[in-house]
Amino acid sequence: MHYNEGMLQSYLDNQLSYEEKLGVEDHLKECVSCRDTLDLLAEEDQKISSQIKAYSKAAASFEVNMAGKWQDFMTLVQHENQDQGFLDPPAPKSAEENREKRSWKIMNKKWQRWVAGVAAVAVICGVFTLPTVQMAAAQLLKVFRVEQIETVKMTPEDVREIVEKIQSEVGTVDLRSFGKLEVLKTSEYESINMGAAKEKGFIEPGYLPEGVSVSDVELHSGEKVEFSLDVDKVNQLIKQLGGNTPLPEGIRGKAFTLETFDAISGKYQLADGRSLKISQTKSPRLEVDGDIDSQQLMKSLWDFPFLPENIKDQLKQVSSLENTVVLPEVEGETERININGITVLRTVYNQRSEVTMEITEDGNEEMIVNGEQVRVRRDFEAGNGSANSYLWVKDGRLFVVESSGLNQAEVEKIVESLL
Amino acid sequence: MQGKGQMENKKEEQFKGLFEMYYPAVIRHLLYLLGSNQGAEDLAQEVFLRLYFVGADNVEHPRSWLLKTASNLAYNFMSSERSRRLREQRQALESERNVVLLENKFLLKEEIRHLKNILDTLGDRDRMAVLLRADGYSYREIAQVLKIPETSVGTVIARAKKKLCLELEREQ
Repeated sequence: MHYNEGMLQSYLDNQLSYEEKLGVEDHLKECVSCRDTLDLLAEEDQKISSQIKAYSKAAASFEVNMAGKWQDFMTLVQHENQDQGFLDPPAPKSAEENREKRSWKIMNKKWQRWVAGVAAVAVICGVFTLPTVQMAAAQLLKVFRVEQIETVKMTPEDVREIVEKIQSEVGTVDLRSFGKLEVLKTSEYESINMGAAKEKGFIEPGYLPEGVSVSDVELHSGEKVEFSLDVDKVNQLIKQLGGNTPLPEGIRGKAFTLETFDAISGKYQLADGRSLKISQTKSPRLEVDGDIDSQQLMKSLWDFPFLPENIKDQLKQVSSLENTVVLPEVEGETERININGITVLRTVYNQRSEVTMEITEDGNEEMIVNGEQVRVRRDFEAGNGSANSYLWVKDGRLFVVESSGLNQAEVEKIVESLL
Repeated sequence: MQGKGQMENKKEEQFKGLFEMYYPAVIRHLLYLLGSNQGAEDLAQEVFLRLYFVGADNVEHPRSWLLKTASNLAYNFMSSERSRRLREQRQALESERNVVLLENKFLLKEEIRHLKNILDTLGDRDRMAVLLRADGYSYREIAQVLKIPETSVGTVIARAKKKLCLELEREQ
């Protein structure tokens, strides 16, 4: 085996991961041929580096005349403002936002964070990949139901990269100009009792820690949002970003309907104030009017130029797109685990989360985890699995278990009893 | 946009500070990448326009943000129709009169012009890869600008270098 030049060049430029580097070094010890290639590459570097340095020096010493530049710039700004070429940073008013109040909050929060920073993605990915849909052939009206979860690993760095990329390539964009969104049915909320909840299909966990009691049961009714995309605008954006796979023609003028169903959340309280919330709902579904070339749609989604390469590679590996929701799995926060053969998305707000404590008037402490308020009692010990959530889909139902103050092992036992 | 209150004016003042501090660096970077100040002024203005609308407060390191954006725009510009036309016009004029157009001050020095000609034997992508690397960009950053997988950057650079060396030898 020999390394190719590209790999050796990466080695030379110190751009390999630690493991890769060790691998190359081990190999170099034994392989004369690769050593020769490496020497040649280094020699070439020397030949051109002095030349490029001179070039770079000439550019760096170029005298820039600033006269009138700021005035030119202000004229340009005014011009742009009139043109509406750029708009104020958008407040993404999307399905995500509307659903914030819904019980499966954690999932939305993840989405929101991802989506909110990435304006363009909110319409395109947020709306499309949410129930990432395999749109097969012929029927006129198709229904897709989320039955499994796939995740895409990303680091906070990746998220930043996407945001930066969009900012630097297109500036800010107004979501509203990329399509129409209409709320057909809004969600309402009422308090019910556990008996009624069970009648509506709520499943109580088989295991609960000792001393746990139900404190509140809420029913949020489903909602319905309809949207359609301005295909030309989106394609223009894709092109501007350097992508070359436009959206399929077939979705022009098509309306998508995203429907969510009654969601029930049971809130449980421990004697010492620690709390647990279990939410369940029928999986949301996306309806599309008419035929859509799913393969091409997926192709253009995965080809979105602002997605970092490593994420694209992962997306391409999502084996079945049908009935799947793709969620970002942010390193250090979210993790995909397997409990009894079911994929569960675990989010832990650990020490890395921004946690602040405040004492409120009534003597309780207010804990702010990543900007969210969590009310805890004074005797609460932070660091002991301060807050975590579990999300999964089973038999067409979406489950979210959130806890504050319970330790991981305990919550996982509860999760297991629901599977 | 909102009415122009005091806040607005203060913001503008702040942005002016940024503009004056970094404008020369952006121009020089563009010059380095484009090899000509043809188009550099326009692109520099556009880079700042983007920062203006993104909001300087939303950008952690304005200097590196500006330079990165400049790299992206420069690369897009190279392959654009506009840039091709400008280049052709310039080349036609220069060869016709056997002079360097005055506005192209960067290329006044003979050795720099010579080097630029050699760099121009590479395609846009290869030339950018070599220049960005020499400017200290990581492979990841290069991949972003060139819109190629990070894993291909090494290969692109190795090949571009080889070509450059051949050209250099031929010239000597």
